[in-house]
Amino acid sequence: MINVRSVIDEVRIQVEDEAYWRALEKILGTITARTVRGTFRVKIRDETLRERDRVARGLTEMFAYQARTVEDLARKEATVKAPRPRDEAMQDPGVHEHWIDFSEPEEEAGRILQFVERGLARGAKIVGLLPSESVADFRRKVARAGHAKDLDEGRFAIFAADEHVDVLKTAGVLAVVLLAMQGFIQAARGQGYQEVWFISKIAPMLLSSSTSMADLLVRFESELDAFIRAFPISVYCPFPEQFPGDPEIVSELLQGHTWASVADVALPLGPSQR
Amino acid sequence: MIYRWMEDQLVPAGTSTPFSGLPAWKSLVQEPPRGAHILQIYEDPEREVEAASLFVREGLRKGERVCCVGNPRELEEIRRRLNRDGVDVARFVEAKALVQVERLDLNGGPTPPEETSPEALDRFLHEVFREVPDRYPGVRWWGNRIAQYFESGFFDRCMAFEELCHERRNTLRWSLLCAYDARKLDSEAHAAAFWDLLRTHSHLIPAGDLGVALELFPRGARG
Repeated sequence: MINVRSVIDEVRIQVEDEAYWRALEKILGTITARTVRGTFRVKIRDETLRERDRVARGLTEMFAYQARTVEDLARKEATVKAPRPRDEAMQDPGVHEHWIDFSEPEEEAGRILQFVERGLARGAKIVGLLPSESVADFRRKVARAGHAKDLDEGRFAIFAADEHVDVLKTAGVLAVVLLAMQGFIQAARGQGYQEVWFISKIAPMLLSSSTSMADLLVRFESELDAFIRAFPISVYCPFPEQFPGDPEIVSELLQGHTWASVADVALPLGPSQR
Repeated sequence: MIYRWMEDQLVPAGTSTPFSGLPAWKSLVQEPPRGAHILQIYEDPEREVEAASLFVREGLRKGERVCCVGNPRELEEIRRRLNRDGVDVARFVEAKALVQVERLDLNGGPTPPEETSPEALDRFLHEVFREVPDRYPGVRWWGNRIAQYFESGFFDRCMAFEELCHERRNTLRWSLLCAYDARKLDSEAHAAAFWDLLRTHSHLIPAGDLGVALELFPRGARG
């Protein structure tokens, strides 16, 4: 088990740096911003400085008091990608989102339901792919949360994903799972749904079966990411807060998602609009 | 709960008003302060002639003498835009209120390094400043020729000219707009010289989408 905090922290810094460079380019233009960065590398030779701090110092020298407004804009740009309250961020997702959520087991169902309700509000078909042993329990929780009618009328369908996971584990054929998902999409289209929102526990099921499945897990999530871009779908991946893998896996996993959330906070990752 | 740390990263909404107080580049080009030596870095050629045309048109409207030193293509485009805006270009040219020069024939021709010598520039300026302020309240100078030296790596030649102009910004009744093409800049090759280029100007019109102008080194430049 690892503490994913430091890994997510590194990703956060990277995301904020990228937002800072975007802000600088918005002010100076893309090429000029790069030239200015090169200029500061030559003019401010302090190896202990991070690139962003070096640029901030150079801008202050060049623009004096105006650098503060430049910084303000950069900060504002960065806040677009800064962590947000999870409940608030959960109101935003549309189609093509790939959300990874780390939570304690007892909180998981409630957190999934927020995603479900957002999808239902958009008129999407919801498809849950869960381990067979938790399907019945999850159905009960969903019904208790006021969605019995959605289950009965097919707006929310829950399936056991054990067979798909077995195929992945034994044959490593990612396409089998993606084809199955494509089947759900076609069926939903036939029923008149424009979007399908998936809850996928396939990846955590892989990981819980053996840590040697980590590479396969990352490949699966990466394929899934490309798949999400190609179809009118969103995918929500619940993971345990105590992650049974090494930090590199967490880092790679995060890169394949558009949102990561833990506790009450959500962090936007990657392209915000696809 | 092990991820409370993320809550510390939350930024309260509405904590800043970015760019309040910074002028739009169009305002600066329309009404440059006396002695302004403006560096425009453009990535879109459309932006270059847009700024140049506005600078020239407003100068002529204020009765100033306007001197343009540029490539034939840009000079032609500036004339076209002025005519489109109802400016009688031919009349201003005939009256020598608008001077358009494709290259600076200083010292009888562009034979470096003499062409940017203080003496040669002074002689040229003497001609441009004839009848200032009696007939013309001031001079506006637009140019994109010197940029070619910079792009080609002839930094000394470029800086010699820019410094000569910059030194005279407080003594002459003029304002200058220098256009440089960012697309020809290399983040490695031009990195060090770019600092000197900025140091020898008073304002920067960057190529970014925000359309602002920034005052350069308001506290004074270091070497």
